[in-house]
Amino acid sequence: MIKPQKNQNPLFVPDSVFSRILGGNKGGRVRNRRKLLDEVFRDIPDGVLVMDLEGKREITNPAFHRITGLSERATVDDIRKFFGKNYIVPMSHVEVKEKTLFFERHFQNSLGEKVSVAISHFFLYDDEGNIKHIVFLFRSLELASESRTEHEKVHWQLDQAALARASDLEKTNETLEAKFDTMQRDLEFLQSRKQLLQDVFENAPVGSHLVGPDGVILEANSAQLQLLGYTRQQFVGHKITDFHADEDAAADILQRLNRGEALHGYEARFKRSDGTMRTVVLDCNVLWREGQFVHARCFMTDITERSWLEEKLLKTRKGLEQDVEDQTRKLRESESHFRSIIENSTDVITIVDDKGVITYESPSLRVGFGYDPQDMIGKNAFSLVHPEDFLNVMQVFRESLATKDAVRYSEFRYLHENGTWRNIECVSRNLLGNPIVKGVVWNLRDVTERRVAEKVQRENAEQLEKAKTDFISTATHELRTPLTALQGYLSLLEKERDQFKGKETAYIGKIWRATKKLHVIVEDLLSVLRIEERKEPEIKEFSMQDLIREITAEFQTRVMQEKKILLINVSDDCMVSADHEATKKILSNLVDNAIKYTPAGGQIEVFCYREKRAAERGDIIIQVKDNGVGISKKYQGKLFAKFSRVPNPLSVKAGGTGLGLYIVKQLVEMQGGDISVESEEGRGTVFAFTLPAAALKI
Amino acid sequence: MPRSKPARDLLLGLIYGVKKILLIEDDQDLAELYEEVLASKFEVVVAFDGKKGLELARMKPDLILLDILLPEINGFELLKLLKTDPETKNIPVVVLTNLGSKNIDDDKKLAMLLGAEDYWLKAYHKPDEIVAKVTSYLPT
Repeated sequence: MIKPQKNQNPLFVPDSVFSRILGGNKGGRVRNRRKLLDEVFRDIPDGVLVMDLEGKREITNPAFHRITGLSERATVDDIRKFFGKNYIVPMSHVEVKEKTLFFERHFQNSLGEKVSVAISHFFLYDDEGNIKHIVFLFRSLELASESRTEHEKVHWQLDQAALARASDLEKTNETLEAKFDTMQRDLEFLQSRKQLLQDVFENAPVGSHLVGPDGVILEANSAQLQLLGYTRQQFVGHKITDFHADEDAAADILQRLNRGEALHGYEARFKRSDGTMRTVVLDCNVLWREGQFVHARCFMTDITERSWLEEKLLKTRKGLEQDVEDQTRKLRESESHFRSIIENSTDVITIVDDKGVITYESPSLRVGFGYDPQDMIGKNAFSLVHPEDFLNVMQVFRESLATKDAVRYSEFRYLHENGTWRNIECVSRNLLGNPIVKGVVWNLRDVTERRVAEKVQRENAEQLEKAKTDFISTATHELRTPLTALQGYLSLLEKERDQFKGKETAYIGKIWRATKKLHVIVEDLLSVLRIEERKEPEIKEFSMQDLIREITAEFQTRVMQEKKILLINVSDDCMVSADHEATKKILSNLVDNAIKYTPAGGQIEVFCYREKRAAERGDIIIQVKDNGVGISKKYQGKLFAKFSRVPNPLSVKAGGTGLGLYIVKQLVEMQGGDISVESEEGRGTVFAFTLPAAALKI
Repeated sequence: MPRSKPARDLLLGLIYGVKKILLIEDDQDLAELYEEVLASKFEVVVAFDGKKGLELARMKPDLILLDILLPEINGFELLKLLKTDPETKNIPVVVLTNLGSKNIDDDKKLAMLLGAEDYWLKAYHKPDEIVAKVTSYLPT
């Protein structure tokens, strides 16, 4: 039998053989050929249908009938009916000339069974090459047909396998195509990435190059070339060491790279093509594969300008650093200076919080109060204040807390470590608001010694005062003593007047007068002395009207003797707040003067009344009025000055010292009063002075 | 008979009923002045200092005229002594001095406080006046 062969034509009878069998080709014996033909024709499992161009059946084989189920006696019309719409109508020559491999068709055979066949056709030609016949081959595709021969089965199986393989192949093809597509896409992507990277590499402002293990430049980007000013040919392929400015640096770099070390921020200098130097920073990464140095990717950044700026900056910074150093040194010096002041000052500086708890004590605390500064921190500062001064200190402290930055002064006693009390002068400043200090700063000074000294000084002053007073007293006494003797004996002499002659009487009289003058001068001088020594008047409330009455009473005798009139005109509302003794003296002086300067027949009047002033206490006014000789305006200005005397025969006769009115004025003013004079020559005088009135008694 | 004149005079005075005045005054002139004027009516004994004064006071005069500014011992001190000593405390003492002024009462107050009868300023009184004042204290 003819073996099935794998060839393009699914027909397992080769064309050439079949053609030979049908007489198309030369060769072969005719008798045998006919027989062979019959046998083959009979036995092949494929159905064969040979038709002429008109569509007339010429030959069919048993397989055809078997497959289609058509009887041998079927006519062309039956065949047509069988194929139905699938009937192959022999068309024109052109159409028919097309050869097909096979195509699947489905029919219903005469038994009503579904038949699947693969149909193939080919052409038979005459000697002229014209198509004489069409040969259709029908191959049943049914698997479970019992009428199939083994060949058919095998062939069919193989075909199925082939089909499956084909379909697999198709699938694989599809998968592969899909994979291919993916790969294609990936590749495209990678390409684009590569492109991008290349672009980046190429266009990066940072110079980049690739260096091989021996230092040969494998690659460089345009930035790199631009940086150093070389063309690609001049750079790539050469050794990188050629372009280094420093051999040592170059060697060092290569060594490191070969060891696999990455370089970061490595500064080096390179030669430009024009010979100038550029300072650059190198960052290199080494690609290491299987223990081998593949290449180093290096980035080069030009920092020449930067470097220059950096140098400038460095200089400036150095300058600044120097300044800072100087300042720091000065600060440290002044700090140590201040610290030494604080530490060595005998003043103690304490800082307390708003509760009085100590947050800082200066070292001089130990010297000043015997306590360890460290021990005091955390303790309350007020615990060492003398109990009697405690309230006052607290008050001052509270006051200082109330006002920001308040400065307060206080004095109190503070307990020394040895148990004694020390007098402390404290100046405090509220610096709670100050962010650095955050506390109330106390500056404490031990003034115990000073207070003691002051006390001594005061006592000395008092003693001196006393001594002065004693001196005045002594002076008074000493001056008076001889005067008293003088006056005493003179008065005795006077008693013996009758025994004297006129000359002696006259002499005695002169001595007497001189002595009296001396007496007055001495008294006045002593008064002045006393006034200038005494600062504080002894103020008390007394009745002015009563005093006037008292003084004038004393003068009444004299007034009567001198044939003058002394009157008083006082209101009952003349309570004064004044120095009794001084006022007595004032009044005495003024009345005495008034009597002196009023001739016989004249009148002296003493007034006192309250000055009317709304809403105020008002003063008491005292007036001594006389209708005597008066004082001319010329002398009124200096009337109350020391040793001023109106040149006046009466005044000379009266023997004034010129101190009387001065004393009066001092005494008046000492009590807070004023004195004035109103006078006209020949028309009398009014002396008026004021004294503070006593507080009204309801 | 006591040897010293003053003492003798005192004694005589005692015998004869004349009032004795002890004058304690350090200024000689003034002492003689007062002695002279007083001698017409009284027996006068003079002491020139405090110590002598105390001594003579023990002889129990009828009146002591006391000056304040004395050597060695202060007049006030002496006054205090006189008034505390049981022998002399009953003798009236009048301060006769130039200390202070007419208007200053402090010394006068002090003297009165210490037990003096009065306080006279020599400078302001004629000797006759002094005699009159003394007489008022010593009825004869």
